[in-house]
Amino acid sequence: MPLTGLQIFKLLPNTNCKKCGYPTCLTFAMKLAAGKEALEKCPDASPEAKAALGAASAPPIRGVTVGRGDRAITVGEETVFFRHEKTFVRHPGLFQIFDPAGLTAAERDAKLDHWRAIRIERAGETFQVDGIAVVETAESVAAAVAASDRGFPVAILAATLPGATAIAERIKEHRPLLVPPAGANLEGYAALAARLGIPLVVGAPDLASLADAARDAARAGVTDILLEPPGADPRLLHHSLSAIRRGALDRIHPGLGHPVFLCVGAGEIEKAVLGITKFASLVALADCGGETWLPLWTLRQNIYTDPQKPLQMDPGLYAIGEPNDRSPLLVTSNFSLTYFIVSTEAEASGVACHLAVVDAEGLSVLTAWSAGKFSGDRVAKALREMKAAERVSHHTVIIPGYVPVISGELEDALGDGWHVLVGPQEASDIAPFFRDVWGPLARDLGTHP
Amino acid sequence: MSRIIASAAIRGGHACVRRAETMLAEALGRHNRNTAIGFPSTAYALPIILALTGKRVEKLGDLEEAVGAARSWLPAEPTEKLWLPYLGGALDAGAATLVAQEAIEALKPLHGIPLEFDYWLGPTTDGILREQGIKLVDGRMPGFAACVGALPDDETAEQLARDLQERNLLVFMGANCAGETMAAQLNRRGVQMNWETFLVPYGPDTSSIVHALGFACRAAFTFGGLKPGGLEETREILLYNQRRVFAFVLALGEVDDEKYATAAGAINFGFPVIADTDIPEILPSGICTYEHVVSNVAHRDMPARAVEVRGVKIHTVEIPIPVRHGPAFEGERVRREEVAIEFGGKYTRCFEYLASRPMDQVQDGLIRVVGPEIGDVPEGARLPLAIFVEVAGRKMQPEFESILERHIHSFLSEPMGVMHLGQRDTVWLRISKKARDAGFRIEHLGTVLLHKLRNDFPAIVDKVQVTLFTESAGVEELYPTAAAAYQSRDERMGALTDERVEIFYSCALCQSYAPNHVCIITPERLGLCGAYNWLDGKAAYEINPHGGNLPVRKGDSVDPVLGQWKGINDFIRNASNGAFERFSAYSMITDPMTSCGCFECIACILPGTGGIMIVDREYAGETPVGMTFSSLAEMTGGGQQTPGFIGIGTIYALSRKFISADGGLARLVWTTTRIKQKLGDRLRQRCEELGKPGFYEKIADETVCTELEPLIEYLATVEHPALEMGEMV
Amino acid sequence: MSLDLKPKKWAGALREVTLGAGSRRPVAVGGGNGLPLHTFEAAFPHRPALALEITDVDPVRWVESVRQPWEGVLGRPAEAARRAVADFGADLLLVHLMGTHTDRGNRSPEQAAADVGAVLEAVNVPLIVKGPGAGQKQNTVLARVAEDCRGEGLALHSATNEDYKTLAAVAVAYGHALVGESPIDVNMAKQLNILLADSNVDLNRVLIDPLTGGLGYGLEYSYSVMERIRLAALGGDAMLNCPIVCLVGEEAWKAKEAKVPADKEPLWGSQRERGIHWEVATAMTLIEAGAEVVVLRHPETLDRIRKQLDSWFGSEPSHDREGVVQNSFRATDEHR
Ligand code: SF4
Ligand code: SF4
Repeated sequence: MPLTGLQIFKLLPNTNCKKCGYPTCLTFAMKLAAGKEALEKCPDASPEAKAALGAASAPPIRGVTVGRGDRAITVGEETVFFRHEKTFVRHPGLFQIFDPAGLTAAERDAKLDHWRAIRIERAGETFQVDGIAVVETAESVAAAVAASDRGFPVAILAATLPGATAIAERIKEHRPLLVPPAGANLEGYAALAARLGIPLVVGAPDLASLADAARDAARAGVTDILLEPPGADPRLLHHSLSAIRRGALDRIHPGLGHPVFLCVGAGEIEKAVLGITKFASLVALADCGGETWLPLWTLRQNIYTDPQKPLQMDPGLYAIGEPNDRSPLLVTSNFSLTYFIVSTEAEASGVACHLAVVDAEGLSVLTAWSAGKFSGDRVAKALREMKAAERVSHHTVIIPGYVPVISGELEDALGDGWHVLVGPQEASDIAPFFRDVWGPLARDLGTHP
Repeated sequence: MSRIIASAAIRGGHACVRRAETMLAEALGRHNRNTAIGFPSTAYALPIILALTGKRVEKLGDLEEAVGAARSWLPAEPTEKLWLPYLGGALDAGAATLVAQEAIEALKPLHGIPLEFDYWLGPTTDGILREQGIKLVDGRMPGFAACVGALPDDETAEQLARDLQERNLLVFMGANCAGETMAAQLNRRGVQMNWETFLVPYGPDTSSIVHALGFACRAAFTFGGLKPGGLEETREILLYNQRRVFAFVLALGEVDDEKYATAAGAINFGFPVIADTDIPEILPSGICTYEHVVSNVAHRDMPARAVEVRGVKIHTVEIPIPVRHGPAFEGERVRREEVAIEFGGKYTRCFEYLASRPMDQVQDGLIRVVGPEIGDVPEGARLPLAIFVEVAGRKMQPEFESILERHIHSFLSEPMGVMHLGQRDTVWLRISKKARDAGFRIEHLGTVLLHKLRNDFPAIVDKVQVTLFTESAGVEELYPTAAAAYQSRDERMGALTDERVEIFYSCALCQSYAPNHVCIITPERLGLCGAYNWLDGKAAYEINPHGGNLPVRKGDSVDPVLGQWKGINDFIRNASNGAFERFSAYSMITDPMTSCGCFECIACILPGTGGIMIVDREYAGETPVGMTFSSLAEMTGGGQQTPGFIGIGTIYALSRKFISADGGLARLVWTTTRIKQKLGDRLRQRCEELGKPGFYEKIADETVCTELEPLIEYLATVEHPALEMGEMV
Repeated sequence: MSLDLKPKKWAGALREVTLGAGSRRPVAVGGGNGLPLHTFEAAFPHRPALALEITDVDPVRWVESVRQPWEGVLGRPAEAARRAVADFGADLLLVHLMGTHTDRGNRSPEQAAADVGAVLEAVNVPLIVKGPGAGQKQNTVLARVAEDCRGEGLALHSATNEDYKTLAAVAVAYGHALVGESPIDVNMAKQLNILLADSNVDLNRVLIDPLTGGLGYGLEYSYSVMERIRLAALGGDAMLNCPIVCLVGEEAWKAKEAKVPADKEPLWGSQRERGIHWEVATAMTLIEAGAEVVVLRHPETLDRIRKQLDSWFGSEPSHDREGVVQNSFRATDEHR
């Protein structure tokens, strides 16, 4: 039974000295209980506290940071097996595998620049290439430097110890991740990682030797370790990934308390799916097209959403198709799922429209309404902020069919000239609604395009 | 069990079995034992015999065993001297009668008596059973009426048929009264009788009624997946009918021995008998849901009475009002210039009052307007209004009055062109000109309430009557009663303490996102979302026993101070999927309630002050514990027990049981101005009750400070009582 | 140092549900006594079954890349069924009677029954028959199909908490299985099963459809709800231990990301591959969360998922030509 925050609190000095970075000891205790902090942060913790907290004084899965600066990525620090138990906290980094062999400097830079420029916005998150996994060849030092210079965290997919050393030495300031070749003797690599203070991937043919190898690397002075699980086929990989996570949470072996690293070859999207859903923390992908990356980014976004804090859209007026001032104006909440469903159905209806996404703290329409986040006043205020009045000449707003109850209040709050229309309850009825209700109405208003 | 009925039923049973035996013997004399026997187009052989004996009768010879079984069930015929009939005996005789009657019906063709002739339809084929029987099972058809006998005249017969049709009930007809039959009466009136009109005449003999019961049995076989077999299977079939097939018998005209016997047979299926003659009544005693035999019912009251006795629930699909209605019109405003008529607001007295009554004191469907209707007054008139709703129901309890009354608001907001605001005596109601022009009248307010209450609360509401008073005299006369009721309800609610009830209610609605969370709702602690109190839980359970609210028996007390009971702990262990072993109703330190995430407020300890703070969801600023509401919510939520932190409904702070194990409200050292405003005078009052002078003023808020050190100083300055109570941990 | 990884043992197991009867070659699903795909510590008598979706009318809203493999047979359910089984190797089919929807052709119950009858003629795999969506029309359509196809062990899709009585009755009457659909909510799923059991439906003939959110469109909700349903089932909850069916194809191909052409969003890559990946990722993820029947649209997805599952369950086809079901297997892992 893990200690509760209150039990931990009783072990702390209760001076509220703030040296841990938190305003009160209680806050810090709660973070410790949640597995999000390590006891070391409190300099005044008594030896008794340390003893009592024991294993619980450190998170069950250590955090590891790769890279430096804005794009540095920290993974690990997970505390649960099922995302519904709490949440998965550190989403896995997706690295692009890059083999610079045979490329000119210009070609190489063009690729890196292209990858760096990729930014795809989705539901409040920006998808980007999280890092570059450089395959060790003769050209790799320059390539690793070029990638680091562009801010990318770098993983070194080593072929030889000297080769890897050469690359690592050059970019050690950027905290590259050292990935030894499969089956290599780890000692040399561990020594290198320890000497440079960089993270290291350890691999082994079976779980027991993997755990031992990680423990040995730690003894050799490597502080940041990732595990590469045995995974010759999907079944074995799934087994390894599940066992590592369970073993880490149960603290059965210190060597298992590290994040997981996974290499995915060309055409193996299924393997990446398995990795993202089942606890891998860094995934290096050989494929580079959007058809592979977009599904994986999206999957990661889904799985790593806090189950208690739904994904949110940025509030604002979104255009569906190419609407004009006579197009219908719909409002909905900024719960991403609601937005996606509404926008998909509106788009499928073939009628261009304006979709006003109101800040409802990410709650679905009905929940938001009952929590007072989707009241007539709030919606009116949001519509005014979006300057909806300037965007549509008909001054008619269509509200979700679940909250007709706000119509009067909204009409009052919007003031003269505005008209509230109650739309359908289900998004799938938007098309018939446009056809049967909006169409005739718009014709009456003389506003139909 | 009435001696008269029992004796008659047993006598009738004997007569029937004798007749079946005679017919069978005759048939066997003339026909081979292997002669095929049965009803057309059915896979269920003789269904009653199949259901009651588990045997398929397909050949003439098979009937011997069936009739023999019927004979063996018959109790001895009562004589003047020997009196021992009891319900069981009569029921056995009833079962024997049905078997004998089915045998008789099956033998008729062998004796040259047709089953189908003139307008008589005879037994129902499986094809029709599949098409129509399913409607009985899935609820499209609320039930069927087996009409036995005939009415005094043709007109009354037609009226009864129409009344039954109107309620969507399937009407079976059979048997005669001195040669007269209901079917013949309808036929003379030119009424169409067939499966399309739901008026189905089986046959002129009493024995033809078995086809109606056979229909019910076959529905159970087909759609209930029940298999014939031994006693246990028979019991299942009868139970299925009792629970699911809402049928009843209307005994029309004189009831002879055979009819008594047939009625006793029907009671086995849980189908009660409603008679228009003065036969002895059999009141509730186990087989039927409510009464078994109700007599002396006037013809025009028969459908309503039958529906009530059988517990048939009739759902109105289209509420008969002349304007559109539905939740889509709920928040609609009727502006001043659109008003046809207006009640309440600040202009006139307008209130709504719902009272529960005994079953016989409510006339279901009665709607009266006492005073002027909408057309009697000039446009824009302002009238007083009392909306007086009387409901009755087998499971209705006075405690549910306030819950139903609260729904009046949403119900009356649904018709297009009606604006309803407020509740109790703060109601403001407007009807728009458009609605009036479409034909909407004050009376229709009653129509809406009638149908909505019956539709939405079928479990607790059986009958509704509405009176709308629109002149001062009536309104003022009723008002004191209503006002007294409001007050006594509040008092009752106030007097409802955890000690005085044996059952708490759980709420698991939030498990959808906080998997191990359960709210335990007690009279003195409402759900942490603030939306469900104990009464709501109780009503929700009555309405839907498979829903999110379940009754939890407290059981033995484990710790009276913490508020732990064995029953609750056991329940929590189960409902939290084994995550938690114990639950304290009154502590936020020891085994506190889990928090899902939709709490109105969070209460959390403030080490160093000996107290706690309460912060509400709307408050975005810093708090003395060093966390904002949202980071607190992250710690507290997710369905975990987090000692020192609980999510609460705001008004729980006013409860006598508010963290009473930890020191109670006196621990409150800091809260937000919003909470102070919301709780207002009630909080002041509670503070005074604590007997600590000036306590309310000592509770800090964000205008005093938002950090711990200044708070501690402040508390010392004002000498807050929590300081003396000692640290909570 | 050796690892002390104890296999997890659970009190409960999934029910085993057999789809198809009469002239169908039956396919059984469920029955496992551990977390999904945890073959290293639990026994699974059946592998997840893979279905393809065919429609009664031309599904005009399907995007070109998913129409392409079905070219020539869209809206011809019998031909589509043949192709799905013979060429694409579906274990079973979902016949979506979308054309019976009042807005999509309003085909009659008789036509629907004839369509399903034609599919039954054409192939011998079990069928899931999906109506136009909860409501009166669906009830009359599926009741008619159920009656005309009695004894074939169809799975009727779907009963809901508000509207289950008719389908429960016809499933019982005509010997079919029933899919109970609930809106991504464990308690609702349980409540529906209680109601179904109460209507005399045998829960060994029920599949749970927890409502599938496609990748990017609520997948995470389905994922967690399914994991929780599985945990409840393994914990011994007899009202939640029915196998789960997910309508993956329908949801995955609804996504904007599966439909937008590459020239509109150059960064998104090839539309064809992207769409298939969308379906593959949705399907794989939901199988990990506990789907026992997965309904797909693109045959290539089916092929890829089958190859994945072969890794856990062996590469034997789930049925051979003689019509014997051979999808049973036992855990064979070093840790058992
Ligand atoms: S550093 Fe230690 S003593 Fe200081 S506030 Fe943090 S936990 Fe408390
Ligand atoms: S917070 Fe409210 S809705 Fe949620 S479980 Fe508690 S009482 Fe039920």
